[in-house]
Amino acid sequence: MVVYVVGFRERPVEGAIGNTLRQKGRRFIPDLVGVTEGELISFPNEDPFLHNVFSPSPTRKFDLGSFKQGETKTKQFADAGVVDVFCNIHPEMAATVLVLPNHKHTNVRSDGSYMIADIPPGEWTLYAYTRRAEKPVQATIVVTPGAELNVDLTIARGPEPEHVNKYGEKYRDGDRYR
Amino acid sequence: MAVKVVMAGVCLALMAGTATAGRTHYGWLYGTEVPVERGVEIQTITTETNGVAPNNLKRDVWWTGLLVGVTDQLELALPFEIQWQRTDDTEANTSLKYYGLEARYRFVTNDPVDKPAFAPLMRVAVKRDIVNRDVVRVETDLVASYEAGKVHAIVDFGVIGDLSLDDTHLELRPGVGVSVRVKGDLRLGVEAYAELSLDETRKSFAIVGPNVAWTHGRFWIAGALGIGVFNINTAPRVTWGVAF
Repeated sequence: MVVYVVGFRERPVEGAIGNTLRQKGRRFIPDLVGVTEGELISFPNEDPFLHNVFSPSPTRKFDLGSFKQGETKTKQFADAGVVDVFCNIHPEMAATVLVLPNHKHTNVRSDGSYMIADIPPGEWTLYAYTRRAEKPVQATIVVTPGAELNVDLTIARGPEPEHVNKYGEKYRDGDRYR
Repeated sequence: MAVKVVMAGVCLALMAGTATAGRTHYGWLYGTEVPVERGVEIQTITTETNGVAPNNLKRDVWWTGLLVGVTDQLELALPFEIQWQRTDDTEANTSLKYYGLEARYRFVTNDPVDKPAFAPLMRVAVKRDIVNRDVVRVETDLVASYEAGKVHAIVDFGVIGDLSLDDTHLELRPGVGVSVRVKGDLRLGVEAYAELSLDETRKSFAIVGPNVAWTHGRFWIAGALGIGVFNINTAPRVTWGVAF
């Protein structure tokens, strides 16, 4: 899960790796990350076989080709939005990248806690998003200088949606074992 | 601060797939796209030339190759060619004509978001002439494409050399074309192409005609009907590929 604040923009750090989506155990770890508009995501393959990471999302289409253990590919995400990421070889691999207008986003810890520091003063909207959510939940926050806010959110989660491979085809059962 | 998660109702979403890029939108002209790294494609080109002067040469060539993406911008191909030909003065004959190695290098990224409108590519092929065994054919093409919205334009300048210890035959093979996406992944356009021999061993010809191209998932096909402008009647050509 990712929690993020919207309502203001911050400049990206030129060439910065904003987050990492590891491929390990036929999974993306984590399966949801945030990145600031203009920054990069790193995709290291830590499995002893090939992965072919791609996205069909209109926000940011890409195809990294197949790369082996120890190789890392990077991709810049220039436009805000939701980018779904899959592996063309392994149908069980799915992740989401949230491309956000500022640096005020974080992954929620395993105990459900989170912290976002240095939010500028003002009235903003706080969102919580999980990959399998029907929709993100939100809360209006008013930030004053030096103050600390505690905001609890409850989000509904459903099953993993189906997806197709980069050619628009259903995965064949045999692909699972390639 | 905390986020609680509760299970909700069923939510299934079948996401639309994306079609891969076609390799060329033209019949007679090479494109500027290459497979992604470690991508593999089988490609076939079927070429027909009819009525090349002066003795009404008819020639069909089937080129088939396995293409491999070495990097996101470099592709290697392992092709072979079968040729059938006949003239008013000779019997028809079919031969396994060439096998060889081909490389194509795209000078800019092929990323769907980052790729520039202008994309140059260089192609080099070295082929063993199986019929004339002392001849090696070297082919090179400089290809440049420009894409703006639905419109794609291309220039392809090729040079062919048949090299042996005794002789050298050279040809220039220039071409230009334009292709427009008309509906979905269907494209229509027009192209012009010529084979200009720099000696008398082969006759030059020039063609112009319509082209059509279509991409569907991992499969793409492109073809052109060349209509003779100079020294030839017709010259259709179809290329198709399947990506893996």
